[in-house]
Amino acid sequence: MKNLRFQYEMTLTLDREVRDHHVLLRCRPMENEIQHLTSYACEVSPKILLHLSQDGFGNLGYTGVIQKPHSLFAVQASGIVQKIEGRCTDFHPMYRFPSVRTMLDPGLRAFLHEVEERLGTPVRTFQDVCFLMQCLHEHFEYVPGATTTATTAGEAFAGGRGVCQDYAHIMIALCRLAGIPARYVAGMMIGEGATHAWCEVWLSDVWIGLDPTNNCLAKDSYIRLSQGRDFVDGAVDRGCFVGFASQTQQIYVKVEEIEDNPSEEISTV
Amino acid sequence: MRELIEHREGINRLMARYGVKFGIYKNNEFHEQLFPFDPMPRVISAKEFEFLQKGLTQRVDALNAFLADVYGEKKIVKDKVIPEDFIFSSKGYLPQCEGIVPPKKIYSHISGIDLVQAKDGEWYILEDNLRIPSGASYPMIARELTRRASPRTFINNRIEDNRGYASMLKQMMDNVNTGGINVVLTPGRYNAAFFEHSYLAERSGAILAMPQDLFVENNYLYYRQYGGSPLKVGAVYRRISDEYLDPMCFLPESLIGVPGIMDVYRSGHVALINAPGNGVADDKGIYYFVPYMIKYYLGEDAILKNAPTYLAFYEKDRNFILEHLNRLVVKDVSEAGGYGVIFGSDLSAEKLEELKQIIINEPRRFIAQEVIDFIDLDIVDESNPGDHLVPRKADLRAFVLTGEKTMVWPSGLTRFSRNPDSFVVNSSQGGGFKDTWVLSR
Repeated sequence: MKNLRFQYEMTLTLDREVRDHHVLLRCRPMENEIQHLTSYACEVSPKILLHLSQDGFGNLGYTGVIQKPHSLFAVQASGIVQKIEGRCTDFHPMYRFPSVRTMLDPGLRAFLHEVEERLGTPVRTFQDVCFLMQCLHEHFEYVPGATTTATTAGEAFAGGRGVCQDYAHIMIALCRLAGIPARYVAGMMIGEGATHAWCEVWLSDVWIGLDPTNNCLAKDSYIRLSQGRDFVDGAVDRGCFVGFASQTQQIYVKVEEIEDNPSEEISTV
Repeated sequence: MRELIEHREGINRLMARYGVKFGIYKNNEFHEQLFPFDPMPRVISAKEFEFLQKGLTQRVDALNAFLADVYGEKKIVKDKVIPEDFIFSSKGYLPQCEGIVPPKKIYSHISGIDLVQAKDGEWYILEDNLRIPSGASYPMIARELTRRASPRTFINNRIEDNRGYASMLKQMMDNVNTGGINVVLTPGRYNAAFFEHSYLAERSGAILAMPQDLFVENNYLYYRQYGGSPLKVGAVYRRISDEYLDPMCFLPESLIGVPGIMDVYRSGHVALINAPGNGVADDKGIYYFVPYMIKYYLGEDAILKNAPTYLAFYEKDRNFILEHLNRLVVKDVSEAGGYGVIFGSDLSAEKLEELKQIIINEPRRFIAQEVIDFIDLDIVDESNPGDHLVPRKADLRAFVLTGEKTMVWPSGLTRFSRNPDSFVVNSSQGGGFKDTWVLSR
């Protein structure tokens, strides 16, 4: 059992004023069998009324509209998450099949085939999946800027370089191809930097978190914000506005382990 | 009935003036076309209609039960009646709709069911359209103009009045309305069916709204008026397809959607007609399973038959398809509007081999059907009008409305192929239409 204090800050800068700006924020950690939210606060600027709703994937999101012209939108969320020993068993059959960003292509098929040759068996067990993750980790290079949020698993794999999102997409595509359901998880991990992405695989009727970027299990140093078939479903923030502006987004995340767990109220402003 | 022939040109001319058109995009250009009207109606006897009504009501009730199950408990999958592949990897399945319970639990309020009648008189279902079936306005306005041109015809023949569609539509909307006005949401005048949107709004007393007329506030949907305060909207007959409906939920680049409308819908604060996500129940792959759904949900045998269909997904069926490809019609399950339909008999030996290979590689993508030799209906010969009639292939789109009860509109859109050698009747492929008369005795 671990207590993690987190901070999430997002700033969206627009080079021209926009209006009727709809926002969707999934920066509230999910509550499930492996994590509890013991304290939480979220503030946005300009100040707007936020409405909390749940989507078809089980994600919580704040939605709201900034009607007045503005050129800056900022979010600050912070809180404490308690990681607990437990098992996620919320299975859904959609996680068996390819999705927009995890479509299969010959490159991915060939790679899985190669891994299975090295393994001598089809990828089936937990050990096999870990081996697959290790092969991917060795084959793929972490290079920020090599891909975008629109890059598919196949494209990223062909380029050989990318970021956590691409590692997760490729791993998901390979597992589904091997007949193992897999889903995308967006969140934060211990340390300082940006949001993180990893995946979960469905083995022996339980979801197991895997972080292919770091070639390790995603356990109690990870805070889950959202989940889905791929990046698109669980995007941590989403928006649309009226106006011709180009936007720059800055994200700052900090997660640290704390000793005891001060019990604070959960509040949203 | 033949006296109608002389009114053919006049009615078509009036329809052109009323703007009874449909648009198609070809090579990225928008073209508006007239929908050629043939004055000789398809006539359905009262007894035959009663039979069709029973079969169609049964089918639509089962499809509604299926949709509630897919986005809810998923019993039909757990009981292994339908393989997961045909539901959760279908393009029409929208996981964003998981867990949403629409007002009165109705998913398909307006269903357009396409049927053909074989030469032996037997009716077969060709496909179900549960997303945005269009076409009801054409027989409505054609009937109106024909009545004006030849009132005597409607005194001498006992024909069910089809103008009741507007009030059926209104009742259906009122039934699910969550409190507020009814609107017909159109993407705008460059949509293929804009004539229909405006006509149905006017006839049913709903407000015709463009996307920018609607907005979400505090989790309710409102209609912006030019003067006065916004009006709360309780039901939206939306003629915008699922993926463009809400840029915050589906395609973010959609400019014709209403941001946030899906949240309002999920909260039960507005009815969307038809429910988003219905595509999972009307693709050509799931079609195969509809008779099983009827058995599963209603405990009845299907009254109306499917065309004999083989699913390449099942090995036994696939072998059959590969063996008999030259006499079957192959359909790509992800295509619509008459696209992706291949008649084996049209292919050279080489092309047949090619198609076989594609089917082997992607079995989930294809179904194959026996070619039904469906009846021809007489149409006025366009090249030699006068009194001369020629036979052409025709199908029937029946409109089934689900409100408090499921009802079939006693009329329908009869579409015919203008090409004497073709079985494809879709308007996007250049077909024409007829009125459909249901006799009242």
